[in-house]
Amino acid sequence: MKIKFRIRFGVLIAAIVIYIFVRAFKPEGLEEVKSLDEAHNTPLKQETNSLEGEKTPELNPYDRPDPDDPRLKRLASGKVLYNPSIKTSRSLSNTLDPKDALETVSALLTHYRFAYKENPVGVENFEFTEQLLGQNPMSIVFIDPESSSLKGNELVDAWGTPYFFHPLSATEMEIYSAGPDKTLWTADDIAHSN
Amino acid sequence: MSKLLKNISRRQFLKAGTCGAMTIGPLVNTIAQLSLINSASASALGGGALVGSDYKALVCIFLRGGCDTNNVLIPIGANPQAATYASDRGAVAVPNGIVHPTYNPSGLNSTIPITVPGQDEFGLHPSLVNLAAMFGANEASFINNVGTLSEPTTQNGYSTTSLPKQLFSHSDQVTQWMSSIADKPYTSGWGARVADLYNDVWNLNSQTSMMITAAGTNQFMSGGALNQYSVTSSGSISLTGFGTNYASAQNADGSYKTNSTGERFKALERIMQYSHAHIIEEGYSEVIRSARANEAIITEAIKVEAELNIDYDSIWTSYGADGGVADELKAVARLITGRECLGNNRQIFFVDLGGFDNHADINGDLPVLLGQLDRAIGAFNAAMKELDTKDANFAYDKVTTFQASDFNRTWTPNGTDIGTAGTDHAWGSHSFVFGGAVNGGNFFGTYPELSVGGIDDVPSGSRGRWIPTTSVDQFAAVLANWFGVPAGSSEMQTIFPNLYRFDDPFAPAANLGFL
Repeated sequence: MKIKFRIRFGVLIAAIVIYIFVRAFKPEGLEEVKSLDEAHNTPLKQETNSLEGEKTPELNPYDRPDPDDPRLKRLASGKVLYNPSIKTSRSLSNTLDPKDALETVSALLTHYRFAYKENPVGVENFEFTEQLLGQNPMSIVFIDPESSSLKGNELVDAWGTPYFFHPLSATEMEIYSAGPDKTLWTADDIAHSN
Repeated sequence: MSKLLKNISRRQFLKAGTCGAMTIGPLVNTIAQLSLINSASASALGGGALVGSDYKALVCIFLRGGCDTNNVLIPIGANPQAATYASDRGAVAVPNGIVHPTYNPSGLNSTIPITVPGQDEFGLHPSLVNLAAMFGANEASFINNVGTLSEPTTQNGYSTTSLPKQLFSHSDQVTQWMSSIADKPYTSGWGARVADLYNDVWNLNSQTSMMITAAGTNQFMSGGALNQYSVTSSGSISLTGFGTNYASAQNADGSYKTNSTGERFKALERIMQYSHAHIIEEGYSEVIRSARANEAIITEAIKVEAELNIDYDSIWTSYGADGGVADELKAVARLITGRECLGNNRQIFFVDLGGFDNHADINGDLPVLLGQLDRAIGAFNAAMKELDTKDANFAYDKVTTFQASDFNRTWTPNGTDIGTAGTDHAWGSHSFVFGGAVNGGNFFGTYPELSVGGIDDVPSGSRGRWIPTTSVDQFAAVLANWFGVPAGSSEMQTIFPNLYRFDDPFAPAANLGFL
């Protein structure tokens, strides 16, 4: 009786694992695009559907995405665009108020944390930026690669200076803009903490 | 509901779930089992008598913020790495005798030279006068390039090795230094695990916790069955609202004053003596009762200093040690002096000093911080030697002090202005240890190659973040072994569950024989 039960219980667990595995690698309803450029030039589905339209009108952009989440867009390269974060990153520009820009960068990290439960790891700006650009375990892209706030592989502020990321913990990050004088640790620095 | 689910009885479900739960807490269970075994062994041997010659104390000094130990140990003179130091460190370099056209045109050497057997020339930061003297007197040593590791890690294997969680973040690295488990969420500090396993063996006549912190609650001592006991730099922490040392509520003879404060205190103490049926009410009362009892014991312990004709205040004054970590170490010295009142054969102490997160102004801030630290450890070391001469049951080699910090800082600075430049978060660091048991005047572990992009640098980036060649696990295991945890024992494995992944710290090849 015990052996019978264990077999049945094992079958159930195996079935659940296989189901999760298949769903993860064969997501339904995801739109495939060929490249990041194409993705950039194509209006985000969320702009017409997910965030406003019929498919997922109630989704909170900070809800953790499932593999078949309609907010995800899988690229042929294997990378996956997380559209709410991409949309957030598109609001970054050198005309945006510097404090709002810092909050936006912070929001990108929030998106990252909803996917990975922790901040990207690093010290240098490029280390954080590259992880937001898709160099992460599930190859999720959180920043529009065409963002005007990208200078190479660094996120820069309105004056073109790379932001300084100060990791406090797995979920807390201070972000600094060097301000108009382009020099960190001076009076005109702007800081944001989440 | 599927047929399968329908056929699972509640009992079967609970049984299956219990198996899963058992995999979650093996560490907790193992500690509980080993503690019982140790306790039984101690009873059989009649161990744990009064505090005596078997006494040992371990003192942790934690430098919060990530101390730039690249400026603590400095290659100088003919050391082949001295020129690299001067050029790479640039605006944050301590003048080390190497000419730098911008920062040291006259080739000044501000460091305090030390002699290290078998090593090239090194100097200590000019603020570390006492540490240099202790090193020269063979009372202190350094463990080089030690840091958090999940498993042995090299530059080539960096991308494929399991790295410590949230490397470079303050909170996580502090936690991992204190837990000595870099690849799992925090559950307990290694100090707490030592206490859980051995308190019943070593401290049968214990009157208060064997873990005492003068720097508030910390993760090094948390997470076990035994609580850490907090003291202030002047001794025990009194209940608030009744005046300093209850002067507003009690007379000198201990009787209650007849004023409202005295009546209130009297009422509180009586209420606290009641036992409560409700577990939370009883728990709360027990905390207060325990705090009052500990307070009395600590107060008695503090008095032993005077009975032995020792004056720690004058020692501290002679070293210019005052405030912060200096006062915390003075409290530790007093509690070690009064250890027989506390009834513990083994004690673990914790103190800290903050402010080392020097992203800016490191040339202004680090000398001040290292100066505070140096005066404090100089006074504490002198106090332990003084106690050795005044207390026949104590010896200088009974206390070992070790230093730790979040991480080291980047080899290269983040600016070129000597007035504002700082350094950022890095990894492998140099820790010092001192005390009579230390094999002093030497370097242990492996000193890193000080080169951006060199074999010890994290391959991502170009700032010089040394990949540790000695893990916190190995470093701490040597300390624990000196304290009484047998090398190679199941207890050692329980306290440091990842230790087996690294080279045996007790084998000569590890070069960790600092105790």
